[in-house]
Amino acid sequence: MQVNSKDFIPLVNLALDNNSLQASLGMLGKGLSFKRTAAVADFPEFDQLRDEARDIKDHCLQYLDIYLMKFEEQVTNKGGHVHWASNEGEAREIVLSLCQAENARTITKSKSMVTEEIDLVPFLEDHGLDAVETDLGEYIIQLRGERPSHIIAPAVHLSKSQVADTFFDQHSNLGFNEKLTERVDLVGEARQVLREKFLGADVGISGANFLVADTGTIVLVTNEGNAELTTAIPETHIVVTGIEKIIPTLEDASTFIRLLARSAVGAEISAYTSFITGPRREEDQDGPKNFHVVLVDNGRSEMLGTELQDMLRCIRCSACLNHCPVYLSIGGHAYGSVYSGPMGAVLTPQFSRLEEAKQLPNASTFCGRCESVCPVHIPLPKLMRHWRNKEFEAGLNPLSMRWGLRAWALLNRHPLLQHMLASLGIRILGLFGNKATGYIIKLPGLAGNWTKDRDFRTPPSTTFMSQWKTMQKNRQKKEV
Amino acid sequence: MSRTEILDRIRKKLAVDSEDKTRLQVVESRLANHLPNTIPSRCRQSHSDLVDLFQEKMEKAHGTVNRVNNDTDLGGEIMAYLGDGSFELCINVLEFELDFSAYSSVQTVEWTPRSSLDICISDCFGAVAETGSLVISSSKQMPLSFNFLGEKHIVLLKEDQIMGAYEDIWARTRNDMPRDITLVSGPSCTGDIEMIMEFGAHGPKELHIIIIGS
Ligand code: SF4
Repeated sequence: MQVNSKDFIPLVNLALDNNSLQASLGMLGKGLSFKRTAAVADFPEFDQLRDEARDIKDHCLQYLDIYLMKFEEQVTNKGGHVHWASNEGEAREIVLSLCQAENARTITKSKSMVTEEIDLVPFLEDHGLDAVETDLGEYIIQLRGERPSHIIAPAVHLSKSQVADTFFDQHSNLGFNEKLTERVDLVGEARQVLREKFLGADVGISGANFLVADTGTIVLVTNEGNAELTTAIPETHIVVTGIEKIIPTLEDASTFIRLLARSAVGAEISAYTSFITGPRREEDQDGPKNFHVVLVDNGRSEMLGTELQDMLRCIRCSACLNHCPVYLSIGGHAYGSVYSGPMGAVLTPQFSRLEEAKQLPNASTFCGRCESVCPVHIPLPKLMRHWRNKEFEAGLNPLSMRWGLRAWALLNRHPLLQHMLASLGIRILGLFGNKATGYIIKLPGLAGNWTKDRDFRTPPSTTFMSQWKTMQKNRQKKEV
Repeated sequence: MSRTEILDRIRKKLAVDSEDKTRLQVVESRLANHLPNTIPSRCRQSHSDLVDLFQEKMEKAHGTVNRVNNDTDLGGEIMAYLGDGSFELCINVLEFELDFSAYSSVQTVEWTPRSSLDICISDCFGAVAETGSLVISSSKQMPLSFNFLGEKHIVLLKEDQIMGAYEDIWARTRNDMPRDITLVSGPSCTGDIEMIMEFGAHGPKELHIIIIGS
């Protein structure tokens, strides 16, 4: 997985100064969390279903090897093929060789985070294949050479006029020469361009929201209908998905469908939910002749039996992003990973290397909103803490931070010393305060980073401990 | 081989044994029983309430719904929805007779997957009331793409085809799943540009359902 999370801090600064991004994030934060709250209020069974969904996933993970084999058996019985990829390189090679075996030239693709994780499309393009993303958001960022900034709304960082500029630049060779201003016209133009692609594609590639072991069915959820056109028209359908997507039965799928759209966008269900089982039947009029499922491990199995196992329950709904004060301030690109927000802060160090991604689990206020909205109860703050501990154990923090933490621990073990330093500290801080307002607006040196963006309350002249002692003394005197 | 490698790694991390037959039995009995989880109470009410619920939810999802008592003039109902103008209709309906002889402005066209199709009319496998979702399925008569390529999609649905919960679909299909079953809840839409909903992203811009009473 391509990751540039090392640049987290400069990217955050860029994001905070980007007004158009800030406007988009503002809309995202207000819109989705409000809608989710309303959808949950209208569904009395929601919490019960969340508990059940957590338990179903935990059960599947406990029996993952068997469920995957059951799934494989069913897909094979129905005439499909299952391929296993230990890592991203293998996954890319499998997909490429399947395309080459069919002499494919053109590929339509519906949205899939696993294909982003394994950088599939650039790889196929490098091998001379014409692979086009058909989810509107993915299509826009593909034209712009960007990566998704949100796991379900990949182009959420862009404004309408940026999209209009992109289409104007990139569609003129297709005979679209007018600069559009209305959203409906932009959607219409993309529809026209992509309709031709759907009809002419040799291969359709999709992800899967769920894999149903009992029937060998893959479940796909979209609002646009692009997944259906991607999977119904070409001669070959390749599903690329993670091994953790497995669930036992169609009944279990029903439970997850009830949670997914409500958690993601506050809708009761998405416009289209497709249950695809095997290739075209002999008598069918459409559907692919060849049906392949590529099961990607890429670091997932390593999470089993560890504290990170809980993360494998994730159904990629994006509720944790939509409710995260950090994500909503900096957007997805700052994370330098296709997985952003709290779930990205947990997954990215696993799918790349902790050295690369160590900043991400630190970018949290630990407010706990992510965990409180997660439909499968993933303890995201705890998992971010897991990486922070690993970071410390591996000696990856900067020296100043390590010494800082050591000093902090030392002070906590020696109350007298802590008290002395605290009294000294507040006296020094007091010197910077403005008597009239009661605030410090500028501190020197490193501490200036704090006051750059916010004011600091002037501390009282004595510490809490000494105030407490004085109070106790006075009380005793009174009692005597 | 990656298959063995992955399965072995999973077992190692879970600290389980591939020879352990009890694990296999746990999975097999869970699959054989395929018990439902909690089914929302709204899915279990009288059939006429379910029909109302279907309509309410479909309308909330921006589909339009019209209810008629019988199938005597479905052609007229369709034309009433389309309004004035001349239309090309692509029809794939098995259950009902559609008569457009009274409408000279109407032309019917043969189905082939193509980039511009005006109006597609079909019947469907059924519907689920809980979220106002049509259930369409691929079959000998019904190519899945038929439901996606028209600008407008009109679907004929008999009242008694409306089920309560998703689980009711599986009771009827599990043993012989068609290649595709799609729940359709409203017209195709996208919020990918500035989070504002637009219709007709790739599928139909309008979805109209005629519910036929029994
Ligand atoms: S961690 Fe939970 S809330 Fe976040 S995307 Fe995954 S399932 Fe959704």
